[in-house]
Amino acid sequence: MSLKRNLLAIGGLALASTLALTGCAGKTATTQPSADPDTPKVAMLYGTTGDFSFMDSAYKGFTDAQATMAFTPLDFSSPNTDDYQDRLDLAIAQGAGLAIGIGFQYATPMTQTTDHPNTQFVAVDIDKGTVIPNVTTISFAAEQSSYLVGVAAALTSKSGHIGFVGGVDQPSIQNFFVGYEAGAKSVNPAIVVDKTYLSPLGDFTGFSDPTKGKEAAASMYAGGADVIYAAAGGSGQGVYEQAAASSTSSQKNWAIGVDGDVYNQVDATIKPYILTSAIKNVNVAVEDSIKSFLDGSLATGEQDFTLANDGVGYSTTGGFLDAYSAQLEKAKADIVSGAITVPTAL
Amino acid sequence: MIRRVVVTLAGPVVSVLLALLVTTLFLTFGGYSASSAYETMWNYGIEPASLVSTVNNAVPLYLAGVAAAFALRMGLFNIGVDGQYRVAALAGAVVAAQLPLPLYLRLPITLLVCCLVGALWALVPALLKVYRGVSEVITSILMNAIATTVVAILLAHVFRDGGGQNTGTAIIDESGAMPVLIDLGIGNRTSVSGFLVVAIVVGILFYLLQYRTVFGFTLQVAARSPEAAESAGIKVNRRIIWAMLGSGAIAGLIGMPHVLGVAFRFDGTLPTDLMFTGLAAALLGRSHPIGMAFGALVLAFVERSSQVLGLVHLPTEVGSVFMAVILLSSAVGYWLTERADQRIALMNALRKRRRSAGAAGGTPPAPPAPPSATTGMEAAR
Repeated sequence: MSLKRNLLAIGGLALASTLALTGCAGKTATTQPSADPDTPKVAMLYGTTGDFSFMDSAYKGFTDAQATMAFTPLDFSSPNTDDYQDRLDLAIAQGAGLAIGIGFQYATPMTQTTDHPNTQFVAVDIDKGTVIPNVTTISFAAEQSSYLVGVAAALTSKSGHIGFVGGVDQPSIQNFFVGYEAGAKSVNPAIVVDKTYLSPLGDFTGFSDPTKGKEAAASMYAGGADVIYAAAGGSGQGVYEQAAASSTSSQKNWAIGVDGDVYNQVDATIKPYILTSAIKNVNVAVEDSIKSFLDGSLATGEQDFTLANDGVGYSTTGGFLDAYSAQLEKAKADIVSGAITVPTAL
Repeated sequence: MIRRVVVTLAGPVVSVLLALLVTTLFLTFGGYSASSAYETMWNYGIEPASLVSTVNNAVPLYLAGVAAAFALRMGLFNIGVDGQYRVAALAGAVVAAQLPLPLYLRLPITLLVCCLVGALWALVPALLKVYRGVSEVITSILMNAIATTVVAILLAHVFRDGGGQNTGTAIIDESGAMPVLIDLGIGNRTSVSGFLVVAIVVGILFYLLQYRTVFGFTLQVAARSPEAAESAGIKVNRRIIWAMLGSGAIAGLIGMPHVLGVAFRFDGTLPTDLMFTGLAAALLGRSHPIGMAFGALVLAFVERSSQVLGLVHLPTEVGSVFMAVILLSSAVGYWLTERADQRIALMNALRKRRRSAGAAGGTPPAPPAPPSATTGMEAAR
């Protein structure tokens, strides 16, 4: 019978310690104590931060807005890829006046949820041309910013050979490549553009695997490319590191970042190798939506973030593009004026 | 009898307690108040909408659990459930959207196609195991990787419908989707999907086949001792193939609640972690059809209720931690209870022997009965 007692003891110990620890003080459930409970509630529905790009940028917009505007933030982060609908329902149930969904995955739940009289919906990064009744959709012309960094890559490349590392082989990422290639070829029609995707369609690990990014970049640099554009979310970190690692005194390799200004995010040892970043101002989209919601001017329908309204762009931090600023600004002006039409994969 | 019930229940209870303990440690050392987290989760979890969602989300977990258990009872570890359900879900989405038949024909055909595709995907590891002696664990993992690529190629180049960022198959309209079972009508999405019926039917079939037929019995015998089974006239190789086929067929259904009830197409939102959570449900429920249902419900409840934590500035990872620890602790919990059970059986036997020896008065005691092997195996089942 001793073992039965042992078993009871183990179970009891587990129970007792759980109870004891449960009683411990710590950060308790709190809904932003600093905020005034009477202010309107704004929910942001997103994945997880730490990708150094899309989600981080959205989160930055949300926190920046909290610093300057009066509202109660509801933070719905989830690592899961199957509970978009749940999060939206939760936002409505919590009485959010505005629910901002980050990612095209919110298009379907926001279309299916027709009954939301007290909650306005904003869907960020939706396909251009998508119409969802009673929802504000925001699209980014990622191909335009990619075109410009393609121009920058072709102007900077000494070998006439550049590369592209995409996270997942899906249309949203192919779109970055299409713009990038068009931009590069506009400078040098004979330029060689390598491309690789870190994971196939439907397998999202390519967005969060810096090791894979590093390997892909290493093989491209070894193959002769001297500028690589990383449109791979968190995997881009590996590409940035490899740009520095594979550079020698006689051969300088560059990396181009994506979504945020990568120059400001990486270690000082890598900064000299970040040529530029294709910027997608997700933070501006989030902040502007909250602002117009609070002053009552948030309109439903489509908002396009393009080069024309600085919704997308390229960064010049580090000053590596100073020599080419005239060509880059001309290309930008031509896109804005319509003289250049950038192809798209969407 | 009472002991059997206690032992059967002790396993899951100890597992859940261990998982709670680790989760509590995680929270406490992270500087969070565990009681506050649990209270918030509980309050959100028992809201009607959450309960409905828990039931709906438990269905694929249950199916995944049954699929794993079907092979486990033959001593096979079908880790290829993952690939099987993804390939089958793609096939099912195409059939459900394209087949020009009314719902009462289209739906059963869709589900049958899913079973068939899942079974075919499981056939490869089964054949390799029987004819080449390759471990099904290795081959079915490799089949998962192949499934990822095959699905990607088929989706991108053959079945893709419509443009834009979200790549998916054609939309499935009402004449192909799973009807709602009960609509509680208390806000958005408070309806129980018809897949609940599918899950119950699968559970009953599983029980009848595994516990009440000669086939199920021969599986058990073949799993315990292939040599003995062979000499008793049971064709073990054939049992291996049937067990994997059955497991694959059930696995084929796992993705369908999402395809036919949530996304209405096969696209990037199909959950990819159903196999492991389902496996946790199977472990928690001891591969028993009713036990697994409880396991699936507990896990779905935790998944749903942990979503609220981000809102109150507590880590949403609590759900994932709990889930991961369940996998570990259910193994530990069963090991503990099983050992206890065997020891108790041995003690009882010894005591009985001693008592009868005492009563007989001086006759040398017979060698002690072997520790009740049947009880131990009963528990392992």
